[in-house]
Amino acid sequence: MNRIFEFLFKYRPLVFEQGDFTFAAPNSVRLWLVAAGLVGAAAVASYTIARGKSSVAERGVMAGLRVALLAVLVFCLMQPALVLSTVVPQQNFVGVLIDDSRSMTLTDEDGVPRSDFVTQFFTPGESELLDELSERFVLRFFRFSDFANRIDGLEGLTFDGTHTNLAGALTSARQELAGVPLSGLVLVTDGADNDNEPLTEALVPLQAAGVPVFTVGLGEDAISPDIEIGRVEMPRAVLEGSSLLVDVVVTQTGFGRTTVPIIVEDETKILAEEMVELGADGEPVVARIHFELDNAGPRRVRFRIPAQPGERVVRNNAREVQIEVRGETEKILYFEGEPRHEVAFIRRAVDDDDNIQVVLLERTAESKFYRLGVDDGAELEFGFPSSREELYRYRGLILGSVEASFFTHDQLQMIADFVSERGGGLLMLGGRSAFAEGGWAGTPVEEVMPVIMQERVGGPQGFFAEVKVRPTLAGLAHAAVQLAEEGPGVAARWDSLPPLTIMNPIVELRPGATSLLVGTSDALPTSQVVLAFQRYGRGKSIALTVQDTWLWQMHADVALEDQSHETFWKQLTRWLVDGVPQGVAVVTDQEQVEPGERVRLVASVGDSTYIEVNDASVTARITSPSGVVEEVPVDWTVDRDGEYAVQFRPTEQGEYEVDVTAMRGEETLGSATTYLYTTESNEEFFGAGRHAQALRRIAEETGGQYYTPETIETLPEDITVTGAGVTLVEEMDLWDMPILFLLMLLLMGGEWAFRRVRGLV
Amino acid sequence: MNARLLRATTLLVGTLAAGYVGYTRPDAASTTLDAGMILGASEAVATAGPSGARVVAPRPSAAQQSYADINAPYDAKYHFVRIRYDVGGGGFGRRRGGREPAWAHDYPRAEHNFLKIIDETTYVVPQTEGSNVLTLDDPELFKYPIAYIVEVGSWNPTDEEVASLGEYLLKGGFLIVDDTRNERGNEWANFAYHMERALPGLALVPLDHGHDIFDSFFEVNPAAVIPPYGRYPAEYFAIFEDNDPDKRMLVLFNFNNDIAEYWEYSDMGYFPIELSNEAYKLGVNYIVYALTH
Repeated sequence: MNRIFEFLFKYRPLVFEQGDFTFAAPNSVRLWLVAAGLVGAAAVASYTIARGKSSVAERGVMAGLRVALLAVLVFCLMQPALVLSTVVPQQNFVGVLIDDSRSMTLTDEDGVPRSDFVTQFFTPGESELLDELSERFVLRFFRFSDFANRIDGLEGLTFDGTHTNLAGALTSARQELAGVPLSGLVLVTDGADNDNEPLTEALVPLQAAGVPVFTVGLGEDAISPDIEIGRVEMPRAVLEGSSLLVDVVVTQTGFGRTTVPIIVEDETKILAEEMVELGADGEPVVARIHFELDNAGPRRVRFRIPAQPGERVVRNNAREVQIEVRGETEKILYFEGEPRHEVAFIRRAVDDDDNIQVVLLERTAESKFYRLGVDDGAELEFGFPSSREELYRYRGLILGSVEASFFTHDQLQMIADFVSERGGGLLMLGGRSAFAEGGWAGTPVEEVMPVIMQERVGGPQGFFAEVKVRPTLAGLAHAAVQLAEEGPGVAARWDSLPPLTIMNPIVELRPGATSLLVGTSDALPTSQVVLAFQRYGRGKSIALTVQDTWLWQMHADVALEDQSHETFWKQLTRWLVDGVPQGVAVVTDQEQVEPGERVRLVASVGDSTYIEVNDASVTARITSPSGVVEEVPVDWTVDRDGEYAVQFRPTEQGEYEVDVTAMRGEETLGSATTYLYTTESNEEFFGAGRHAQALRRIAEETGGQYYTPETIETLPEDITVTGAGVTLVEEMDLWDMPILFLLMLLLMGGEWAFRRVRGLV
Repeated sequence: MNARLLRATTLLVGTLAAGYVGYTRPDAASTTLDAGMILGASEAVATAGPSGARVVAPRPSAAQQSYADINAPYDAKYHFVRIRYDVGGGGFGRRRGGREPAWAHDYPRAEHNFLKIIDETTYVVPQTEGSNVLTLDDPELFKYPIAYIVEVGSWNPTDEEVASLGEYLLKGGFLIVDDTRNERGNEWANFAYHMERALPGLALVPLDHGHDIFDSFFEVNPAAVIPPYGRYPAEYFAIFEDNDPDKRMLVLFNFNNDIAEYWEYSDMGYFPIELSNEAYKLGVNYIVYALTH
């Protein structure tokens, strides 16, 4: 289409877009032309008044054709032209950024790797495109994967980069060419960015500098047939023995409606295997896989789909996820206001969990407490903690049936801060002195809770209802309330459990809260919230409104060997402390890198009350797989309170252990450990189709153009007319556009034909 | 706390004189049970008629009584549950010259007084209107994880009852055994035999006097507790999960003792208040312990 346009209009559409239209004829000529126009009009008048065998309508048509012909002629004589800026040859620079990542080695449907395009079009002396570019511009070549490096020629390309970072590459090249007149950047890539750096941050400075980016998209839009494990949603740390419910996103093209296995394995054994039915062709599906992790320590869990017949890319069929299985014992303080059966059964349910320590503080009478599970005689010696240091030792807090008025205002605020500042997990249980019935409405703790406490139910009996508990849709997908493997058995398992009772009528959630379990009863107009949670500040709060989950253990309808109650409480208590931060914590910005790649260590440092500390002395002790130990100081980032960071480059392949210790003066604030695995990366083979949309966006937002190998030949001229840098104003004649001569011939021929048809010749 | 208990016990002497009235179901106004009914079928009981006037109605025997009607429904509170059983040979067993069944010894005054004490001295929320009477094979029993049984020297449970008891205890139930001694024959052996049927492989073992159960609420010296009658000192036995004294206690056996005897008569002046106090302390400790372990 562009070629036809160029044939008719002399120039390509881009030239018309960039230029300003004008008439080049001098003013005197224009006057003569106006006069000629008047003569023409008189001629037309002579047509209309002439008498003959023609009708008035026929004379009108002929007059119109003649006037149109005259108008085209006058238009040409006015010397129409386009005025536009064009770059001065050899006065401007163009940066050519070539994707040097591994995805460029992928072979497309025509059997040619993407890297061949680079050889074909950018080899000196062998490419017309390169010659033309070189004639007009001073070229600077860059290779990029995660950032751009200058190269002198194609020999600098390896196509072995482990990442593609378009934003980083554009920024690096812009900065490198900041001191020269730059007409534009040419970005040659498949566009498969896997670094997640926001493009906008790279494009805004280019827009401000008026530097257009001309993108060249390589490869196929979709590789078919192919299956890929797109994403795995898994926490970075769990307690030993935890039950995990992991979402695995499977994308495919060409394998629609087929069933494939997903195998989950660690270094030693298969953890789970699940058959997944794929959706319609091209549609991703989410597979939910349930498995447990035991044996404390860093682990690599691999999710794998065996290669399918005819599959084009098999290196994207597996993903490895690093996870730390923590062997620590997490302490939970359970404060109960009245001795009741729920206490004994909760303690018993989690008793054999070596990673959960429930410390019970039970008020057995006025000012009389019973302590169980304490580490020593001093723990909770004076009842419920009265200082943050004492309360923040625990990672979870369970409040049983205890009225809010038992606590001082400071203690209530401290409980709220336990969630929002310390990042702990708070679980409030149902009971006669819980929620609104316990006077919790209007306290600082109410704000933390995920439910809206309704007006207190009065009367001697208060509210009492028996409800059948069922999971919500969110509950079905939540690991904390899985009593059975997914499938039709889930509903049956919940239906088999006996009803429980509620004394706290709660039907509304706070905005942002999620309900996992609801209770229904024929006697109640609406379903009751049974289990709900929300994130609050750094922590989370959970409401469990029933008061006798122990019936799931004791009831006559529940078989002796049934583990529903134990499973429920083990999962609930583990979830309660899951993700609760330490005073000192450390993470790496990437879970897995290749040797030589940069890694950023980020440590967060707080004191015993979890207030961020900026004046700590933080040291990272990095132990390589071969046992080489390196100690590096970790500095405060200044950007954020309590955040310390340092970069390092692992050089060996294998597992690195990073131990961070924070000191303030002589006082040790804390220490933390994380692990980093270095190995060959397959990241470039995921989502490796051509990302035309992103490349179009880059071009459009910077004033450049998007090309494919088939359309790239106009690139030199396009840069010339759209580029920035040193330019001159050029006037491009339009009077000799073929379309005008064609139009005149058409008008003349039309009049002649009309006369012939009407017999007026 | 002892002073509080003493006050509560003393209080009972006065308040209980009016007699015991069992739990009244809201939907069954005619099922009021009088304390006197267990004294014999020939006696009469005063109940409130529809007009509110007191009427005299024939009183059913304890064996004939339908306890399902008078038991308090489940309400998530602590309910005192007394196990009713048959000693064999048809009908429910009797003692004391046939005046009351063995399982009903001290019923219902003992638990009525005890529930008042629990309510007064602790934060346990009990159903104080009355106790529930259930058989071991009644599914309702599984809604009440603490049960009380007496006179197990003549106890002769059926296979169904034994199986149900075993399941109840293994699921999480706790059984308090009282009013059993060897003076009337080898009652210990009878109980141990049937517990072996219920919990094969789990043995009754002497309970260490320093065990937590004696210090769960009141600090009690079990050796100093004097039985209300009999020649032998009180002894304490227990059955533990996996026969491991560090694990959960399933059964607590007050041997050569009858703490409910103290509870029953604590308001009658038959026993010194100090002795009744010790019996109450043991009972409170047992309940608080069972509610937390």
